[in-house]
Amino acid sequence: MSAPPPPGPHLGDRLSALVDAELDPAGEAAARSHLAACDACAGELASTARVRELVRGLPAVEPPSPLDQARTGRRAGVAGVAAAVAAAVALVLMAGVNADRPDNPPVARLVEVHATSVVNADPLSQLAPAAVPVSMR
Amino acid sequence: MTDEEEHPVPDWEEVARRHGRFLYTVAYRLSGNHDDAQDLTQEVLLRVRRGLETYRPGSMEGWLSRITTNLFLDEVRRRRRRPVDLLPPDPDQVLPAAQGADQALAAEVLPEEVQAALDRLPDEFRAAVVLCDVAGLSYEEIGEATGVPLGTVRSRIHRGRALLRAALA
Repeated sequence: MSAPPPPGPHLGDRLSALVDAELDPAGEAAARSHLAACDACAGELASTARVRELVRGLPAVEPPSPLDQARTGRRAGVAGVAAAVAAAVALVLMAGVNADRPDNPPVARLVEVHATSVVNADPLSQLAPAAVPVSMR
Repeated sequence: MTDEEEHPVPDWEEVARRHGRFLYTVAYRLSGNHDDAQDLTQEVLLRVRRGLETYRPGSMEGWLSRITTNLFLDEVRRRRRRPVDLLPPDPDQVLPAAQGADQALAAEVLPEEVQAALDRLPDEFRAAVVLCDVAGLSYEEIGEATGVPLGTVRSRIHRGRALLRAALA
């Protein structure tokens, strides 16, 4: 005699919600009940959790040092000012990684100066307030 | 206590120092290369400077992630870096033929391989997966950051993960 079909339809994207703890208690109970009786979904749960762990395990990323950039060169077409700001930002970020360095304030001031010049030079920088989410539709 | 005393305006240099590594990591995982990550981070920090006056305490990383994602997606649309004809007509076609087949992922997967697989995702799927698994945002925060309903967030994350699974199997 064959086993009864698993309760409810296959879980689909509820599997991701389950591993992300985004299901409410009723939804989680229903999902676990289905998983107990469905090999296909149990297998998809395992591989979903696996790929989630791969992305979650990715290391933090450091910007390349300004010396590396000078050696390899930035891609063509980047405005000189923007490149200078980007390099300064990279210095600020590197200083943030080594927060105990005493030279932070002068670096931050460098970014301040360049950032101001970029903002004034680019009318497109009059952007919408940060709190307004951009609609995808 | 005045409003200013209850909610002191964060110093933007302090924000850059304390959250710069997180910010750059999210920008890099979204854009896939250092040049774009630096440009994006620079733009985010400029936006942060202007926005700090209206910032209210909450999740600083959530707020930064929202700005980063909005700017990233704006830039994507502006540059049209993914011409429509290069996208698969239906990303679901890339899924394993047998639903739920447990694809044994390679035992040793390098971060570079994971990033390469991320780079191949449609931008909206990549944004959802990066915001969930790199920035650590909740589905609700991702929905607010990208302006879509929770069901769409969930669907994009799951389909993004399925495509990663297929790419890394």
